[in-house]
Amino acid sequence: MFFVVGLFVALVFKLYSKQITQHDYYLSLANNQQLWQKENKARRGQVYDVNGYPMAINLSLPALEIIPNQVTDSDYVARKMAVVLHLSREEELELKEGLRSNALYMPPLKHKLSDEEVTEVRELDLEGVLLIPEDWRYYPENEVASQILGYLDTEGVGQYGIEGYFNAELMGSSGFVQTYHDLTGRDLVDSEQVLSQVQQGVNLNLTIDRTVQYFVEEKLKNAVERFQAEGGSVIVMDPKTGQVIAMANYPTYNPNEYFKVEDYEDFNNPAVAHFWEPGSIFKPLVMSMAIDMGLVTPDTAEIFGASIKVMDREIFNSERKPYGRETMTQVLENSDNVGMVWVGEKVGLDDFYKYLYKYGFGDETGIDLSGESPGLVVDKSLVSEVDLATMTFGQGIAVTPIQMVSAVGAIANGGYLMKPYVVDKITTVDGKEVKVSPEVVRSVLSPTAANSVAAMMVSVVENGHGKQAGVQGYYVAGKTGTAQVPVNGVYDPNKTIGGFIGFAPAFDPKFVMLVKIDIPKTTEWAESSAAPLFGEIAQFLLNYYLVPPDRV
Amino acid sequence: MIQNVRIEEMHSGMKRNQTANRFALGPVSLQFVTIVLLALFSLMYLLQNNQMTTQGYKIAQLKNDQLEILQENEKFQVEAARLKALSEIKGKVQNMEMESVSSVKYLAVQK
Repeated sequence: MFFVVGLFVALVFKLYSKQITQHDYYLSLANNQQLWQKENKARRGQVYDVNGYPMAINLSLPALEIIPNQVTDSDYVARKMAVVLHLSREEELELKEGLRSNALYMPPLKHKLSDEEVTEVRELDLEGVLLIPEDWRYYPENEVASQILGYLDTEGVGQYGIEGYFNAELMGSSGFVQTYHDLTGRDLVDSEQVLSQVQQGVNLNLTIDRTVQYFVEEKLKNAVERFQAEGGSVIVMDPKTGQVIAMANYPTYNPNEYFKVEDYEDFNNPAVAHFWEPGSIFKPLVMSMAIDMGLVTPDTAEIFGASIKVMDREIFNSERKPYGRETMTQVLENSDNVGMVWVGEKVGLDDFYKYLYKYGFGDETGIDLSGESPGLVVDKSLVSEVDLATMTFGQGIAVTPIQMVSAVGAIANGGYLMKPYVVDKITTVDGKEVKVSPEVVRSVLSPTAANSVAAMMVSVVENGHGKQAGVQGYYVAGKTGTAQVPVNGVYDPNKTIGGFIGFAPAFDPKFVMLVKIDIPKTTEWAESSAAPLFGEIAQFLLNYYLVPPDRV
Repeated sequence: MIQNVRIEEMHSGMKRNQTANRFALGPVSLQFVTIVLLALFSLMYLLQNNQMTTQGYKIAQLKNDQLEILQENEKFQVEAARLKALSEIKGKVQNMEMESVSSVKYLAVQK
C-alpha cells in the first residue's frame, strides 16, 4: 500500500516538476519543434536614370544546392549532376565524395543556373537536390555610369558610388515572422505572426541621363585612346540646379563583372575622388575675384612681359614671350601667367583665400557619392608670395573635377554656387516620392561680375586657345588649361593634363562641362585634346536638349 | 428509455388526467451517447483538420505559384532592360544602314 502511495506521490512530484517548475523549459522545447522564425528579406531598391531607364535592378536566379544526408544514391546523383552542369571527371568524383559524407550542408554547386539547367534539374526530380532562389544585382547598361553606380558585393553590401553611399536606404531592413508548422514542415494556416515588419529598400531616380552618359563615355574613351592618354574624366552639370547630367571616367569597369577588375583603383570615381593641379582652367576663377572686388574690369589694360619676378623666383608665361599691352580679357585669351600673377597681387592673399573658400575649394562639395575628396588647399599661414603667384594660374593648389565644375558653375549661374547632386528622386515601395531640391550653397560673386567673366570666357573661345571648343551658332564660354604634373615635388616635363572647362549657351547656360585628359602622349596642349572633345560633346548636348542657336 | 407517466393534478378545482413524455437516461445509454458524441466530435475535428491541412497545402502551392510568376515577370523585365540598353540598341541600329543627322536647323515661329 505504502509502495503504491509512494509511487503516486513520486508521479505527482514528477508531474509538478515537469509541468509547473520546468514549464518554461518544456514550452520552449515544444516551440522549437513547432515554431519557426523566418526572415522576410527586404528587396533592394532599384536605380533608374532621370528618364526612368533602369540602371541597377534585381534579378532572382536559382542556385543548385544538394543536401548530402538526404541523397539516397550519391553515385547516381553525382553522375546526373555532372551531365547537367557539365562537370569534369575530377569535379564529379569530388562531388561523389562530398555526397557520401552524409553531411547536412554543402556549398551550392552552382549559382545563376540557366533556364535549361533549371528544367533539367526539375525533370530529374532527385531527392536532396534543391533549387534555391538567390537575388542578384544586374546593371543593364554594363560599363555605363559604373563609377557613379558602384556595385553590390557577394554579401549584398553596396560598394562605391550610389550603391555605397545609399546602401542603407537601398537595402531596407529585414522583417521577421513566426509560424507554426506541421510534421512535414509546411506552415499551418493562419499561424503566421509578424514579429517585425519588413522595410523594403527605396528606389532611386538619378539626375544622370543615360543617353548623355553613354555618348560622353564613348567619346571620352575614343579621345583617351586617340591621344594615348592614361585616362580622363568628363562632368556635365546643370549650373542652375547642380544636377549632374553625366559623369564619365576612363578607364572604367563593368559592375556585372566587378570581380574581374584587377586594379582596385578602377572602382573609385576620379571625378570626385581624385584631385589635380588644374592649371590655366583656374584663371577665370581668379579673374572673377578681382572683377567682383572691383579691382579690374574686362577692359583694364596693363603691359606684361614674358616673365615676372616674385621674391627670388622668375615666373614665365607658357610661350615665354611678352604679350605687351593686354586687357584682362586678353590675359585670359592668351592664358598669360604673368598677367594672372599681377591680378593675384591686386587681390591679395586674404581675399584670394576668402574667395577660394567661397568657391568651395578645400572642402567636399557634399555630392551624394561615396569617396569624395576635399582636394588640397595649403594653409594660408604657410603660403608665400610665390605660392600665391603660382596659384593664380592653377599651380600649388589641388582640386577635384567636381569642385572645379561647381565653381565655374557659379560663374554660369549668376554668381550662385549650387551643391552638385546625382539623386533626383527617392521613391518608397508604397509610392511615396521625395524629390531632391536644388540647393544654393552661397553667393560667390555679384551677378554683374559673373556675367563679365562669362563674356571674357566667350572671348577665350572666340579669340583665344579655346576655338576648337566652339559650336557654330552658339556663344560658348570656356577656358583651356594644360596643367603640369608634379612628380616627387618637381614638375615632370613629359607629363601634362589637358583640361577644358566651359558652359553653353554662355548667357543662358544649359550645361557646364569639364573635360580632362590625363597625360596624353600624342599631344601636349589641351587646345588640341580637351577643347575639341568639349566642342564635340557640347554640339551633341545643344542638339539633344533642342537649344536653339543664340547668335546669327 | 422514454417512459409514459400519468400525471394527475388539480387545477382550478378541476381534476384532469394528463399524459406526458419524460426523458431519462440510464447508465448504459449515457455511455453510448457519450461515445457517439465523442466519435462525432472527433470526426468533425478530423474533417476540419484535414480541410485546414488541404487549404494550407493549397495556400502554400498558390504562394509558390505566385512566387514563380513574379520571378518570371521579373525575368521579362530584366530581359526588356537588357534589350533597351544603349549598347544593344546601337548594335542593332548599325545593321539598319541609317544615316546620322548632319545638321540641325531651327525655324523661328512667330506667335
